[in-house]
Amino acid sequence: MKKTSSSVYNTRETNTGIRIGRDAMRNPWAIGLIILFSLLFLIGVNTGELDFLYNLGRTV
Amino acid sequence: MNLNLFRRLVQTLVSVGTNGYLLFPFTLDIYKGPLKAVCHPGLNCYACPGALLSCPVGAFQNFVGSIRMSAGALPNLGGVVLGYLGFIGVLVGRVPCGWLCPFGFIQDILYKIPSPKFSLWRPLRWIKYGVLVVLVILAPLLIVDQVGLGHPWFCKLLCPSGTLLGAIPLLIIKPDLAENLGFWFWNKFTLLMIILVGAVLISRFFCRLLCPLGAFYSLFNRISIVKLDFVEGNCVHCLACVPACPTGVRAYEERDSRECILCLRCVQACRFGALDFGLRRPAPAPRKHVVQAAGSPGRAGRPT
Repeated sequence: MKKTSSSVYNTRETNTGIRIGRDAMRNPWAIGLIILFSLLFLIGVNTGELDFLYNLGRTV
Repeated sequence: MNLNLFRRLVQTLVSVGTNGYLLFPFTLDIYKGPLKAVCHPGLNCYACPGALLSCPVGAFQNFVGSIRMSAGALPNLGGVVLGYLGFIGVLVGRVPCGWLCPFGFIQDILYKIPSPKFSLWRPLRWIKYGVLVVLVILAPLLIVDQVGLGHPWFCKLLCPSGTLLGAIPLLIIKPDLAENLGFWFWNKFTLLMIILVGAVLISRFFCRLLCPLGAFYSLFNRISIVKLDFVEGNCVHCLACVPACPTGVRAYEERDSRECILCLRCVQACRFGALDFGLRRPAPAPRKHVVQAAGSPGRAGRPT
């Protein structure tokens, strides 16, 4: 049976590790946001927010 | 292994494991160790006597509430919590709702109680975004006390997880606390009862209607690296995926729905391989249109 274009596109035959990594890198919004949120997290860690969180958990 | 059984196992392990402080019946106090500096990916009250991790929504409200109290010093903006939740959201969307959230797990169990079942009127799902903006961000920022400290209004007014997993167990192990019960407790207790009854009648009632954490994660469902794959060519429109979905998503026609918690029940329900769980792939390149020579039969101008 002939496959439609969408089913050909979604087949898993070529889903190797290299392909997975390459596809993920072609999602620019996701990559940009991952970098942004990682930076936010690191800034938070470096400004002592983990201590704030720790003390909050102790005083609830 | 059965996918749904595997998800139940993960939900059980996460719920029990992250609330696994077993000394509280002896110490009569909540856990106060170093793990409290880490947030749970789901809604799990940090006042639960057994909770090992912090609640991300409660923690974020406290960060926001402390901004105006910083008086010139560098305020804590909650970057740790926002970065942590955002990272998870971009990576896997609402997977934490379907797999890791203890309160979601409780609702899944409640929905199994035999009773008449109802569907949620779809426009009501927008309320949770209002809860996120008003109770989690604006109210702690704008309503402050004399020293400039904002309060966690979602925790104070609404959070059913706080009442069920925090306040009630604390009252059981410390009955003396009952003397301090007032309006805030009884208001939340009433809401908890309504939400629990709602969860028996409507699947994932709180998640779909009110959960600010689900609202936040849902913002990333359309760009998350992991997504629900739909293979249109395999779909026979049998609609088996529709009743399987706990959040009322019609997987065959709604791509990347914000309501999808990626529980994969629809994947299991589909017998034709039309639904799968995978990585978001780039859109296929536009195909060239070939115009056939005049006089040749059929397919002229169609994509090849």
